[in-house]
Amino acid sequence: MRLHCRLNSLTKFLTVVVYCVVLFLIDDLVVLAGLFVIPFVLYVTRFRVSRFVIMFAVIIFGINAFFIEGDLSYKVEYALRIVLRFLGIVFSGMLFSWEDPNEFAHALMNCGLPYRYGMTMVLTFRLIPLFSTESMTIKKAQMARGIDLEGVPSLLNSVKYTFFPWIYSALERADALTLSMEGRCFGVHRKRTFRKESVFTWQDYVWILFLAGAVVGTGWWSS
Amino acid sequence: MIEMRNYRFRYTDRWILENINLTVDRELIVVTGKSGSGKSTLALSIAGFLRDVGVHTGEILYSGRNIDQVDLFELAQSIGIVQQDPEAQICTLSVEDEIAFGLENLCFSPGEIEQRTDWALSIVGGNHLKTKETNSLSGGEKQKVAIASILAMKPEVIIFDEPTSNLDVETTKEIMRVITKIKGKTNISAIVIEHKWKHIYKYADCLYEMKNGSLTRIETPMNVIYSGYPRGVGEPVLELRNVTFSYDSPILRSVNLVVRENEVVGIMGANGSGKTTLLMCLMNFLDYEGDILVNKKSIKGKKTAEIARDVGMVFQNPNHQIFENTVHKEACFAATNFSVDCDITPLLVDAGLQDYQDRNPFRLSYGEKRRLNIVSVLSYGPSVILLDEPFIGQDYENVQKIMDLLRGKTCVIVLHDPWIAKAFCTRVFELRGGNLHEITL
Repeated sequence: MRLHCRLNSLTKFLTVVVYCVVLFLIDDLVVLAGLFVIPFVLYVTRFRVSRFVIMFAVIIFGINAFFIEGDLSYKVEYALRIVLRFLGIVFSGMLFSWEDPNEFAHALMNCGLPYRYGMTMVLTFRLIPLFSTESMTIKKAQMARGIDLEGVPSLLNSVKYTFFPWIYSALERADALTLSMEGRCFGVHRKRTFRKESVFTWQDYVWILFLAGAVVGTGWWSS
Repeated sequence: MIEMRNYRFRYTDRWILENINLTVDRELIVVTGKSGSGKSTLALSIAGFLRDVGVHTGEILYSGRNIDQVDLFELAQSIGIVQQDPEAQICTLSVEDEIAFGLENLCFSPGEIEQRTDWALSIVGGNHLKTKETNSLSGGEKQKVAIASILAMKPEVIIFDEPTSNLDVETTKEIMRVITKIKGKTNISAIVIEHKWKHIYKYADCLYEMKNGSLTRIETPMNVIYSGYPRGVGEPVLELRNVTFSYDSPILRSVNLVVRENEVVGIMGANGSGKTTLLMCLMNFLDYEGDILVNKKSIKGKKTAEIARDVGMVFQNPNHQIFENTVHKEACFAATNFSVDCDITPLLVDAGLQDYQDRNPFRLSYGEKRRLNIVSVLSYGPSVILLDEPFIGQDYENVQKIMDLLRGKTCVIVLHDPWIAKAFCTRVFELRGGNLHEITL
């Protein structure tokens, strides 16, 4: 499930960066809470919040409230500010991670990132799920030979017995990919074309102007 | 046109290709031969990938020019390779991007790319795949996309290096149909390197056999020699009772099976039908419903490492089960884990690995690694051995060697080749709709 929004991937990324910067420029708790609500609502209406994030937020709150000096209301306010910033960054980041990585990489290449790096990014997104499935298979293959790799205590063994088969498979995969990419002329010219241009529309420019205004405005207001 | 004249090639001391003479001009030729006979080296040589590697004599001419003098990228445009594993050669996230990949590298305009993408997809019969993501495709669909991505560059020659090794029977036939369609609808020459020549040789202009690095034209395909296996009559070793398992949708629906002593049970079925899942249940890797009995005792709740003592498993990729740094240690690895004393030498002799005992197992050939996996399972004498597609990329002789090693053992083998199933299995089942159906071949 992705957020459907007509803005360019790069504009969305810029939005997340600016949002995080603004979170740190603002100290007013009410405004901070207001800012936090935006990604939070966008997130919870689409996805489930993981228990891990909530636990982590509670721990951050606890640590800050406990170690900071001052009276109770100051402690709570301070800890709340930190937690809101943390959650704001997490939720906006997670929302962005649901963007199409392919589109993002293409947008970056369109903006001047050399295509070798951009395609490396695409390749990474292609390979991550493959490597993760493969390491699970290798783990099972070694367990089938009588090595107990179940549970936390055997974590070290798990690395020990799966490392070499995994490296070997990764190298084999790299070989096949090189053949496949060079066989299709990857790297032959300094530039390459793209079947679909990643375009910036007037909405992107308006939004970027707004973002610039937001940073300058908040900076001026908070100082 | 490709012409090879007295071409020889070696990586180190031993010549891998010997005096190859071959002409391919808008034809479909099939090259068959044993594993390790040099077929893939032939493919890489023709595509120019070995120009700067090893030593070669003689020449390969592409349109009358020696390929050593042709620019490598010009060669890549003219000669494409489709590899064995479709998963390994896809490098982008969407079908459209994948087919456009080569064209984008060659700076084609978006309009031209679109047109060629549609054309290539129509030849492979994959227009419906156009807007899909590559990781959502089945093995056969991935291979079609890989073929289309080479086809879109409109090369003069496409080399298919065992393109159906990982595919089931129906999908294999479909890919072979695609290859014959390429021949019928375009001027592209096709060099098909394949063990499963049966599905294609009727359409081939020439059939060649590669033997110890030499290429000979043959008229009739090789004969297959095999021997029948006795039907199991002994005690039940493995019993599945109403085994049910689902991920998002049901994969296994109340599967029942009894495997008796000395029986070799073959399990066939389309890619994705749940064959590997079934084997995973037998090792307790998955949380299934129902019961599985090994030697009449339920394995429910037991750890995999414990079950492995009675149920040996050989995984699909031989590299996944290798750990030690010498063949001898690797062969004893599992037996050591189970504290079983075994004399490994006779097993290594049976597997033809006795001369490699001190060698690093990763340096063995694919077929040798596969036999080493099997030796390492045989070493501790489990009651039943499960094998997940052990014959991928193996020629008839290697299949025979594997089956000789397993003679007299109780086995459950997941496989695709009907002829192997017919030759070696006492009973064959097809996994269809989540259930096992016994079939006669």
